[in-house]
Amino acid sequence: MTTRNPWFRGALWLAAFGAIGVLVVYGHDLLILFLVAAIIAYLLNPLVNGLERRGMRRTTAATVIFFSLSLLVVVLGWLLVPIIAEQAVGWQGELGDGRLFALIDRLEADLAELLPLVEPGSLGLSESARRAIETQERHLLSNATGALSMIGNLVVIPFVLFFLLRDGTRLMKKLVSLVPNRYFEFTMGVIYKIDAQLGSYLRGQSLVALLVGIATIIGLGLVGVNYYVMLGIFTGIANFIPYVGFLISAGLTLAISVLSTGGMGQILGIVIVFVLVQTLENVILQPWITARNVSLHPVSVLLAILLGGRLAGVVGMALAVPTVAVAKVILVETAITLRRFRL
Amino acid sequence: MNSLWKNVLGGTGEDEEDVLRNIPLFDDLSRRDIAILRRILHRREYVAGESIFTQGEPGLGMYIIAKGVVSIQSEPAGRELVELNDGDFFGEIALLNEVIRSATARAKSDCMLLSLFQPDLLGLLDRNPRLGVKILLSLARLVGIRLVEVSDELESMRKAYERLQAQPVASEVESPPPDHPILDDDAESMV
Repeated sequence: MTTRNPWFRGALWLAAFGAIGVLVVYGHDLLILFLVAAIIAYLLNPLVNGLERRGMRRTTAATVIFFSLSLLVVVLGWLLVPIIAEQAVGWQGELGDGRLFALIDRLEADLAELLPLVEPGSLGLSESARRAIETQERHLLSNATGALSMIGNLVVIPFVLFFLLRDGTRLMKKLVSLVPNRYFEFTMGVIYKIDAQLGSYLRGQSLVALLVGIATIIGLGLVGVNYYVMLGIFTGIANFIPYVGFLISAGLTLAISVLSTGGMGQILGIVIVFVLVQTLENVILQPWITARNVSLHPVSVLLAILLGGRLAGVVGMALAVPTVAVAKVILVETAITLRRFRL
Repeated sequence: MNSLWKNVLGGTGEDEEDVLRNIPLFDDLSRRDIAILRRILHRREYVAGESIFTQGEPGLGMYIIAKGVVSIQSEPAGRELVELNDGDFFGEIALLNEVIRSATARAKSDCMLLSLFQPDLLGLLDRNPRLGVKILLSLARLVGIRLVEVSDELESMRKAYERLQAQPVASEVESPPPDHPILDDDAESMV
């Protein structure tokens, strides 16, 4: 930048922060759409690069990946949505009558007795489960505005996604060009380090979650558990929570099996499925996919999960660990690079 | 102000392409290669006197001078090692290997520089090996030419040193006093 007038520069920064503030306050739901598109674009970027490597132009490569993804989503949706909708209706009918909440409340009380730091009801597990079931109902079945906003998302996210896939690097370059000369190399260093670590972590974890979800759907389907598709999806998402994620989903599956069949007949099958999937994950997938993992201390994992659960229920618990990992990488790499540059 | 908006809005592409075509490093690149290369180059503007990088800091990439004069200096004295002009490049060792900068680079006039960073070059080598190899090859050639020049200079200095040593002791009294800074510095930089 050649603009040297400090007042002008100050005014520019103020305007930029003001604009960000306005976006956060008045458009946070829109920001989330952009964030979702950005995360998907970030995860898919290596595929576009791969096609470029085979001699394709960037725009063509982005188009191919974009339409393949769209096709995949449409086909999966076409195959799965009827099953999910049917299972969701049954799920709500079965779970809405209070048996699940009684079970969760009892579990939470037991947990509170075991762990002195957990107050009964403080995790809000049954509350968030109830809320999750209610929102699901509204979104999937009855609420027209929900459907409208979903269609809106279905337009906005792909639109942003396509352009981020095509122009993401160029956009990043534009942003970096605004960094003052003194901090230019430092900024580039931090960006490259964060990208190298986060890229492999997020892509690896997403792929593991996807494969674990699919394996669980197949396994539970073979055992004949009700709602196996939803349970499989839940297991995939819960897989983002280390150590306890699969315990939660295994527990939920066992509870649902017992509640819906009224007997213990499937328990052995379910246990075998979860043991097999866990072995698959820990012995094959994790070492193969996430070679350079972002390591978090078990204590910070526990803290993150509890805090995430308090802030945003079950969804918060699933998002807590990746969020903490991202924050850790950004902080550590910034600190290391700061020290190396003696800034 | 004008250049700020150019920066924000992407600037005049034609301009940058002409600059790139005139840089010896990119001599044998096609128009399409140049367009691809432009995507990973960062364009930076510096005012006279501004430092581009500092000796002792970690280095991440090299800079190509599109316009302006850059002085390469050795710290802490700030003695100028070499002056570089349009089309020259510097800091290329950091491009090939992440190392500590061995000298300071400072803009002598208002400058427009294009920077190329190691991760971007590695990414290009991965995505478009044909172009990446072309760039690496001409980089290796120019670095080779520099190495030959430095060896020649070293050889002539060694000869001058041997001549000085061969001279009779009496003449040593007439040589500059031992606390003269230039002699010490030169001996150091030869090592």
